[in-house]
Amino acid sequence: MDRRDFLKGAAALALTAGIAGKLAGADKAVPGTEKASGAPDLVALRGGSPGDMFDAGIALLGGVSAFVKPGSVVLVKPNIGWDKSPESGADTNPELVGRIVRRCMEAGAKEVHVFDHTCDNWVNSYSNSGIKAAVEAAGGKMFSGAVEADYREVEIPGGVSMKKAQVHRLVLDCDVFFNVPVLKHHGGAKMTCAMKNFMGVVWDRRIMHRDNLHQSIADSCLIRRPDLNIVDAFRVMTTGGPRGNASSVVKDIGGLLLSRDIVAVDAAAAKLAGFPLKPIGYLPAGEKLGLGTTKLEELTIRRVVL
Amino acid sequence: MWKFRLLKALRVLISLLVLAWFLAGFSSLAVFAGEAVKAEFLPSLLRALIRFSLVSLAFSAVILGAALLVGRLYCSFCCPLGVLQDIAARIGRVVSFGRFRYKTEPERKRLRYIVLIAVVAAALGGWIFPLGLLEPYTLFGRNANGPGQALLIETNNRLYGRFDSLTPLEKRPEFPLFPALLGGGLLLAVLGAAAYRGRVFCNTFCPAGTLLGLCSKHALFPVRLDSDSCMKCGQCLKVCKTGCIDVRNRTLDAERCVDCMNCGTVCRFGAIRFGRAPAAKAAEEPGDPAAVDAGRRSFLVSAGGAGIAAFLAGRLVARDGVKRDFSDAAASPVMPPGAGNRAEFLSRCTGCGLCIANCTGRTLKPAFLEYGLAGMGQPVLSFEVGKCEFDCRNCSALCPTGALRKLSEDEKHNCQIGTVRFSREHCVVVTDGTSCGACAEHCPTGALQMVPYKDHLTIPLVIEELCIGCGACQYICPGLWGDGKKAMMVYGADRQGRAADPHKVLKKPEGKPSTATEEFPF
Repeated sequence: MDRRDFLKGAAALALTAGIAGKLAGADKAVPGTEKASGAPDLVALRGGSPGDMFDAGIALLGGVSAFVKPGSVVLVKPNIGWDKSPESGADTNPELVGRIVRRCMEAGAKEVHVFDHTCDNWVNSYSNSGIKAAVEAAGGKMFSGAVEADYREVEIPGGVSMKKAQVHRLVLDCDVFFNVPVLKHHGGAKMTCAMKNFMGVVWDRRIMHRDNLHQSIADSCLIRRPDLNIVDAFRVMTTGGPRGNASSVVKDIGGLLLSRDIVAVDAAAAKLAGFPLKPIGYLPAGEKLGLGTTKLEELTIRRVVL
Repeated sequence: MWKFRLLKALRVLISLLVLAWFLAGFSSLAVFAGEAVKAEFLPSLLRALIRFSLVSLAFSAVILGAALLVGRLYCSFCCPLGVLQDIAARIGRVVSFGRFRYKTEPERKRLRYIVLIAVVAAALGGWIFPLGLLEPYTLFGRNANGPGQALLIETNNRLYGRFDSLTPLEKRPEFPLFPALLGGGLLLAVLGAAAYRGRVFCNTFCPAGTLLGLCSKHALFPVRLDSDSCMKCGQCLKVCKTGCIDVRNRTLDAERCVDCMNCGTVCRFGAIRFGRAPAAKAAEEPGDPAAVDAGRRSFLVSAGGAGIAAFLAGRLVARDGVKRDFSDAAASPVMPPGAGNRAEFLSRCTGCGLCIANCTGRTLKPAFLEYGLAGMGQPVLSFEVGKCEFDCRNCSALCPTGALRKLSEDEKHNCQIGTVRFSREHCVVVTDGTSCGACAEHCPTGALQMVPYKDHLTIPLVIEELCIGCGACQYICPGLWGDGKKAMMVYGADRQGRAADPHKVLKKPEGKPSTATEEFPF
């Protein structure tokens, strides 16, 4: 299948899926999110540029307009933790973030917001990751995650270790929430991806490290279910993460994963990077909280090579 | 008259631009102001002496040269504290409805010479704090950076609550109160005196002013009062901020004149002009030579005494800063990168706070007694709200006195400002039996590696030769055990060395990376 054929097929499928979804209404799927029937639970892509893989993948899920209604406020939450270049794989791919923002604006979003509670200095991280330039070129707005005044305390119903947290207002106030992590090795949590990306929406990450890290990561995902998790597995830091140092190996995996199921998308990501699942304690913890499933064999998965 | 009006207008314009420039530099906006915010007279002179910087030497030479040619142009055109005093003086004129009047000031020659000699002698003895306290750029800087920037952050962040389009400013570590009160009190006193009677500070305690005065009194084309055309109307005295004009004797003391140009704008007789007075000196020599000699001798004795006493006091205080007990992290202060050796750094930094104002990682703050009495007000790292950012070199690039050496990117990356000590029994992996790794996650050099502990748990291992002491691990470490102590604590280096090259120490994993070979392994 060449790319044009694929995109045509994907668009047609998206259209029918969209209409079918409208007719059939939401079926089971992950609680709290709606899912067009016939649409896969997880879309996995390899072989294109990050932006093109996003376009192809989102088409299989009904297109951006299945998520973004005209006039809505969208939050795109990448991982911009470090003051590093895009080549290092330490932050989400800027082209991917830019493409998502542009598609949201095209779908009629009122505003598209982007922020992260960075580990390194936020101004430098935003600019040196290339994300600021990409977002602003696409019509989105960057916000700071660096001051406490932007965070509001909320209860986390169902949380085991973390029962409340100070959460950034943009997460609480947006209409649509896209979680856009980068897949990486992580010295403490073993892997950082979609679930771990929630550490960047709370103010005090030290509390999470203090109170049973894996359980806290799972608990933080209860704050708000992302409307879609879009995993950047383009350049994957497979060792020496998350910041990267002389021992880091960055693999060009060239992948992208999309799913509403945050646990499933992380499990698939771990397999893609070759990380053993067992030490990633927040996956079973998330499963127990009803956030999703690690049993990928039970899901409808679309695998696409561009 | 029109010439002086033009010069005065120029002076007001330039001085306000300079003030805005320095305020920007001390409000973490040095990005806009650039490295030129460090260009000031005494700091540049120090930098020329400490780092043999030709740029700084040229810059201070220009200012000294200008003083030898025309006079203390620097004091009115370029000194941020001078501009602030002029503003205060202007306000004083307005709010007092003319009750605060400038008058002919006594010469106070001895006072200012002795102050200059004493602060320089103390600095030579190793105690630079008194010089830093009186040096105008530093006095301006420590206030702009301390209370000034705190006010800016607070105001900005309140407005940010209302207007999304503003950029919020991050919080800083808590600054110690005593140095802030000392600097703030002194600034208020200087400005209060200015509001009341003009530039009193500049001709009494200001070391830069005294030094420049020694040049300007020999200037080739100073502002002078022509005694032949002066009608003793006294208009010039009413606007002379330094009180250096003596109308009765028709003299203008070029040593104390700050070249504000005010007098020339009001003189209707053209008596204020540039140039040397015609040689009529001999007649002016007061009294008998024996009395002059006696006066000179008593001055030399008191100045020499003050100098020696200050030097000895300097030695004493400086020793206190060097021989402290460094066995405990709280007593092992971390100096900014580029400081080199502690004794040297303490004797070179005036404490202007330009580095503190522009610290990207929000780690620098003025020291209280961390370095001992000698280092009060000098920058010290604290990891309460941030860490020393790996790729940031602001402090070393901006240091006006050269107390911090300018580092290249590579030098910064391995400049060992301290080393971390890991207290295993306080690590949450041990105390709680849960995963953490926040320290290794933040470590920029790989000096912290997570190694197997038990079950699936891993625990940090310190590779000391790679640690640069940036404090990222201490900042993020959740293992608190009271008193601000953490499982990861950075101990400041006495003498900053170089960490090993991570590419030589750390091995990339052998063989094939662990990634799956199938296209989709699920």
